Amino acid sequence: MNTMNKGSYDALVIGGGIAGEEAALNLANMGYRVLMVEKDYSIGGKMIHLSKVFPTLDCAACITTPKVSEVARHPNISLYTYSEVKEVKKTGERDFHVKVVRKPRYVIEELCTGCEECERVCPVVVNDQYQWDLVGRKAVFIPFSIANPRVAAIDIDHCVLCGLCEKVCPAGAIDFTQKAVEETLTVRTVIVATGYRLFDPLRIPRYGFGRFPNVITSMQMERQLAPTRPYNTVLRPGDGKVPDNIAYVLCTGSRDHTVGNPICSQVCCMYSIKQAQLIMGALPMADVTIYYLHIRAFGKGFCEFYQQAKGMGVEFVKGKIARITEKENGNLILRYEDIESGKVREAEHDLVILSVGVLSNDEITSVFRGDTLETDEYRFIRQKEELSSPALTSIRGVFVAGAASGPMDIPDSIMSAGAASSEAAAYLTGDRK
Amino acid sequence: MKKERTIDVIKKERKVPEEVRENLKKFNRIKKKILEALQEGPRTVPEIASAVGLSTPDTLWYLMTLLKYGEVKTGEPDEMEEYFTYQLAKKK
Repeated sequence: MNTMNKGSYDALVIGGGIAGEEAALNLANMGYRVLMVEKDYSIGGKMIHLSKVFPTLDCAACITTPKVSEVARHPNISLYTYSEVKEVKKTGERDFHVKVVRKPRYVIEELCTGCEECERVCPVVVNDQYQWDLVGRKAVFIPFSIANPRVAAIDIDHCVLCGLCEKVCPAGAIDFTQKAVEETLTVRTVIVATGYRLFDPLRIPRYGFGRFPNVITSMQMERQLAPTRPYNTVLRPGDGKVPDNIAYVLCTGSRDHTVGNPICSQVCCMYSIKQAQLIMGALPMADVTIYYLHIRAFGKGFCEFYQQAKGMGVEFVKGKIARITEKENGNLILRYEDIESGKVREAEHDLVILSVGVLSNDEITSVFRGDTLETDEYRFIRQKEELSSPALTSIRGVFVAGAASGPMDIPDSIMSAGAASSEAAAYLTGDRK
Repeated sequence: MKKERTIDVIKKERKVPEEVRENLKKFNRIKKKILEALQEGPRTVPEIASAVGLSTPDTLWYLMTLLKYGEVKTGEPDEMEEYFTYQLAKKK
């Protein structure tokens, strides 16, 4: 791999989700030069894929895309997408040596206009990861319609090397000779905004995810409710039927010692209540039942939002789902403990949504050399002074923003990023002890 | 600006895995069958599945992919309003 020295920046922001964007914009607006490194093809994180946000039901993309565009266009921000930070080494105060690998997307970013001509002629289809596998995409593809940069990429592992994309590209942007390039840089502070992972429900086989096609995750339902939805309406993936009796299983993979994740996701109650309301808008005849342990409606406007869902007719059943079985017609039988009556009951639904929990995304800790970026007992980035200075980490000069430090919702992630960028700015000026 | 085709360069370095070739063949086969099944008129996913001899979840996935790339369009719901019908997007 070729190595290039690419100079210096004031701040390195690792992760281009809502927290990283906010932190980068704050620092850039103060006049600091920021490098943002995002491992995916586009910035926007998880938020850019959501339908609406709770408890206001504002369009998620409409809130996040102005920030995404501002990051991409800001004169003080350099953006590396499809790139990974491989090494961070602190060599002194306000002096970090960083290695970043820029992976090849086989498309010249500066030339691609996002016209999709390549996508139209590409003969290959594989699962579209940005629609959570509900539909296919091509091997050369614009990641999603509101991606930034809106530039095609070639999934070389699934490419049949037919060369059609290169033949039709009007901009001459396809370049199969691209190779990964390692860059070395120096930065003066680092903000870790690497977000979280969603719980994989394959780890709870008794819920049938992966075996029963009408058991889906909350992210798959989120996509079905978004304007850029895969089916153009809400359908169950098993046979394309319009569902009319939908169940939510809250706390799938959270507050559950048996899967090693005893903590609350902070968001699954509210996003499920949000989705239930959106479903009632999309499918006015549908019944929606939410099976829950406790409804945690703790934030501003959350309790009212919960009451609103009840008022709309969403049914709430306090019950723990023991197992899910499938009938021949694709419907699902939920066997559950009805906590109010203490009885074991069964109920039939035609679509089940698993409201999956939030897990740490701790891969980034392995790139720190010399000093250790410590994690807490659930593998989130340890906040050295959780109560008084929540953005501080175990390494002076490295700050944490958003859900990298623990599960949190969007407004809290933005506030956390505000704290991290303020701390970073103070550190850069040298005033902070 | 590049002059020669870069595909020829990568072809010397990379081999296309067998399963990637198979995946392409499978898609082409299924696409042909689905489009043939729709030539007789609008059909629901279970109807297409039985005509094509594919499971209903797989049929939906391929059908929605064809919809995304403009080969197929959504039609009216069936009598019970349980399933939408799908039809060819392009007139023959």
